[in-house]
Amino acid sequence: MDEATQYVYQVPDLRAMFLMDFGNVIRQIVDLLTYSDISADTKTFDKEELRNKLRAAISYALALLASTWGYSMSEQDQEGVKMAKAKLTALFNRVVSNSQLTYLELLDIYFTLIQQVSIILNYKTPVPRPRPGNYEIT
Amino acid sequence: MVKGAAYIDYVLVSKDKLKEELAERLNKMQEIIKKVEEKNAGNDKVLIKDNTLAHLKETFIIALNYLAVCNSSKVDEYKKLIFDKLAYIRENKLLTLAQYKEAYQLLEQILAV
Repeated sequence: MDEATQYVYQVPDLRAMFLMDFGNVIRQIVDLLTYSDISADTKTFDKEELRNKLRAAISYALALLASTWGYSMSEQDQEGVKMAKAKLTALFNRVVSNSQLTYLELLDIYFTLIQQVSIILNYKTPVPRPRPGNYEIT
Repeated sequence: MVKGAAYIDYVLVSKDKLKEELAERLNKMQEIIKKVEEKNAGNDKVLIKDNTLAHLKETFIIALNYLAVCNSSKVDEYKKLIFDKLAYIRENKLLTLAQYKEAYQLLEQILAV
């Protein structure tokens, strides 16, 4: 068995791998969208960081979409996946070509991204929790 | 280390689970409203900030995730209302109790989608 084939056999589930990468970056994005400009935190909002993470998340979402190719799907789901591909590609172009995006535009991109990924994953989304239960509300 | 299907089940949240989480957060918000009202003799102008505001922002993000899995004609309308509130919070970094209550009502409506 050559090295490349061996590698493919070692990867148990590509879909899970891309989902893990997507989930990790989404948590960081939610963190940036939620906490970055709250006075309790000293960290200021970094638009460029958010933009870069969104770009990464869209790339993982496209990889996730590619890894579902060939799964048994109804015709309606296949149409949904095709549409998701077009929308994700448009999002990617929007993030890459415009460095002047505002916070709300970036939030809009996040929303559309989650919406499309939920279609790819049959109406489920990755866990949207940035920091589960480690801060106290006064 | 990738754990395949088990990981997928772990990381994904369905509409029902998001709804459950949103409902829990609304309960928490109701507790906060009650507590603040008791402490300030029902004064609606008292300010909400810091961690309570962070909790609200996080709840809005969860509400957006919930709307993303909802197949409803109301999605765009509610999304816009959340965006407006987040824009306000972002600019002002605080809310009055009256505005906090409005946010609660909006989230309650979203929960009913």
